[in-house]
Amino acid sequence: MSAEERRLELERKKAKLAEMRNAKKRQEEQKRQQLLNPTGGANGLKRALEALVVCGVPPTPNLKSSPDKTDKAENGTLSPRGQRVAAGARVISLDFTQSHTVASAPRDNEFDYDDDDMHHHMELHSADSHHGSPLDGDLSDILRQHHLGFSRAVTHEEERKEEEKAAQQKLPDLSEEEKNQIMCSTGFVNFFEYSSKVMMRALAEDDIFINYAIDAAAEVAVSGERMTLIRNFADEKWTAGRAVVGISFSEMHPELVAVGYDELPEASGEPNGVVVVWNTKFKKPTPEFVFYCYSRLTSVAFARFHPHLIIGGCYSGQLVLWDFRPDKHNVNKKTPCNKSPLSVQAHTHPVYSLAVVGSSNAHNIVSVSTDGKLCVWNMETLSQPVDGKELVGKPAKPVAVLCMAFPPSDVNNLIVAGEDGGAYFLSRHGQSTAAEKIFEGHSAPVSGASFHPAIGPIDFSHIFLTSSMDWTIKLWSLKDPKLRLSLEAHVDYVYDVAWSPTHPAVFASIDTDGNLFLWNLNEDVEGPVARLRLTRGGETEEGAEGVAAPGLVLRKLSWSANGQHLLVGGADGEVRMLDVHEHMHTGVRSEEWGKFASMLADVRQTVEEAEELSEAAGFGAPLSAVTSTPVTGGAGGSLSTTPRTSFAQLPGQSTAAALVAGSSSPRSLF
Amino acid sequence: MSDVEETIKRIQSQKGVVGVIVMDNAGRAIRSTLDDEQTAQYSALLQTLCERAKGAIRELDSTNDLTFLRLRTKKVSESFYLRPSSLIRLRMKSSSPLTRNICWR
Repeated sequence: MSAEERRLELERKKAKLAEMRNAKKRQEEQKRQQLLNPTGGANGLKRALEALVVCGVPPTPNLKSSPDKTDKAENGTLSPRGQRVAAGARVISLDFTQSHTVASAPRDNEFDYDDDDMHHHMELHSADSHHGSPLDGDLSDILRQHHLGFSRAVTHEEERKEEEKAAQQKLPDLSEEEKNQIMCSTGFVNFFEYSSKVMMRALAEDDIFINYAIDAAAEVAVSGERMTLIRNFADEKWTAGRAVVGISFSEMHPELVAVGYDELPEASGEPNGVVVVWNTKFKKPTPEFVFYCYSRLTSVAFARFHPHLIIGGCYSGQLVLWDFRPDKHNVNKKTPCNKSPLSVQAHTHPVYSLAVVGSSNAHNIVSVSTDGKLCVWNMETLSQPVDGKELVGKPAKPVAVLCMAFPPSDVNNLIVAGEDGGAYFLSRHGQSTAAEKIFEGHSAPVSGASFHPAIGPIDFSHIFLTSSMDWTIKLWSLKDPKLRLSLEAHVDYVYDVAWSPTHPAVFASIDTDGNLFLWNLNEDVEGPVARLRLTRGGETEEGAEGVAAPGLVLRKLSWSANGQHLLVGGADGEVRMLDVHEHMHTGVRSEEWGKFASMLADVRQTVEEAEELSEAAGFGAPLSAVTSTPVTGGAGGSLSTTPRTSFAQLPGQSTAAALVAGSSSPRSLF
Repeated sequence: MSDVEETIKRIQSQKGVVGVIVMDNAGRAIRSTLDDEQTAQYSALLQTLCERAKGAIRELDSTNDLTFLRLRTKKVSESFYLRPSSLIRLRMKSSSPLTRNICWR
């Protein structure tokens, strides 16, 4: 019996279940009809949904609940209900065509607050409270209430009240924990990093409110000096005490300059190599970017066609790549984003020279290490060089390359020079490891080489300069072996030399005694036209009166692209920026080119005469001997070898920079 | 974190800078180098000013937004900087008779 009862109960339950299932099905069908109703103006419904979204009310509960309500009220059956719903939808759509025009207004309002979360929230709350429960009445009513609530909220009084309320609500300050949390978030860090830079630039900006009509002090002092020290770039933490190993200007942003720094002597734990990007345009004293790596840095270059990348050459032989941009975790890394491996195919010796050559579509990194290995790299892959060769010098041993220079608009041939004192002209392609041309003359390692940048009426791109530890700077020509000149004004190791990018006859050179020489071969072919001596700090100067302060070891030299500024990097980690007189960069007269050409012709003639003389004397002087004798292109071909008297120094000068214009009376040669 | 502190210290050490306040767009100070009272005063006043300025810009062009605001007054020259993130930062600079206030968001 009990079993029978149980069976009956089970059946009853089954029937109930079936009923429930049916009900569910009905409900689903009804919902589907509602959604897919083609006559009910899907457009209107959509607009209604949009309007609801605008009001911040999720549309689904409303749509579901209101028909349910009607269902319950009517206790209706399936078939009429579906129709009613359809009809209801139509009614809604009719109502909406009207309210839609209003709906655009709140959208603007909504925009007003879109990134002001607090306000938005407040508004929504108030809107909710205005219309009460969204379940009573049909959709159009609800919507209208929404609009009312909205338009009311828009009025100014309401807004002010809201603001007051918001202010009251906002009053509780952030807790320490919250503050810390915010300050640690990447969003904050990124924002802060950028905006602090902006702020520093804004603070360093010149006063834009100068009234020239009133302020007497606003007059710009025009100096007659050829070189003026205008700025120092140094950072207590990152650059102090680190020798400058490279200076490279960005092509994309000509005001940015990347400076590479060597390791800090007797410091462990600190990064060995540091690259700091300085801004020469804004006078802000802080770096734009700081990067470092854990190998000594020996060279640095902006990746020419990738404005965000900086390449560094390391003492270990590695190439490292830094990126300005935040990485995929949105973090600005200071460590390299890419590195070349240490392998036999790549460099295993210090890379003292590196350059990016080519065009924007096809370019490569060319690097040379001190074992004479030349590697060509693809920008994208540093895992392996795409090309490479070993350079062999004159006595058939590898060239210990210290510097490299590419002729302008030539990507295949280059000059390398190094410890053996010879300059080798070679092609980076092909199998031949020997140089096409060898320029011998320096009796000590060559420290720097610079090609004439040559943009002008006459092509001087075959002219280049080398600076050497034998205290001389030599001028050479790729085309004409008889065109050569030795400049012997320095009385110490000459560390770097660089042609001006704008004036055909101007170049600058630095030595290890703190001397910066500015040359203009059109004015003076024997000595610099301006000299600047940089000394090491003030404390050495006070020591002994009359004794000149020891000069600062100057390491690297670079011109800004417009020829207006000179950057000189010292062994003390400071980079000094000098303003060059405007006649050397703006409005260079075209006759300077002709003048330079005739000066070169004069030099050539002098060399020829000297060679003839020595041949006639029966010496048969070797090439190197001839070139190492000072050749001065005097008008009469006079070979005056008297060294220039050392220039006056101003002891006790606190600025540690004595500027003495050399040779005040320019020699008219032609 | 330490970078932030360092940067703030560096900005603070600039000539004429009176203080640095970093605040969110509700005017609550996240980091300040001024005392509490001054911080509260500055952030409350500057927040409303920024809000007003932003309102004016939006009114003129609803797709536009204020990113930087700089003021110069008789005694005080102030700068603000705003960015469409949720933070405002503020800084004052007083050079001789001038004070600048910079704040950003």
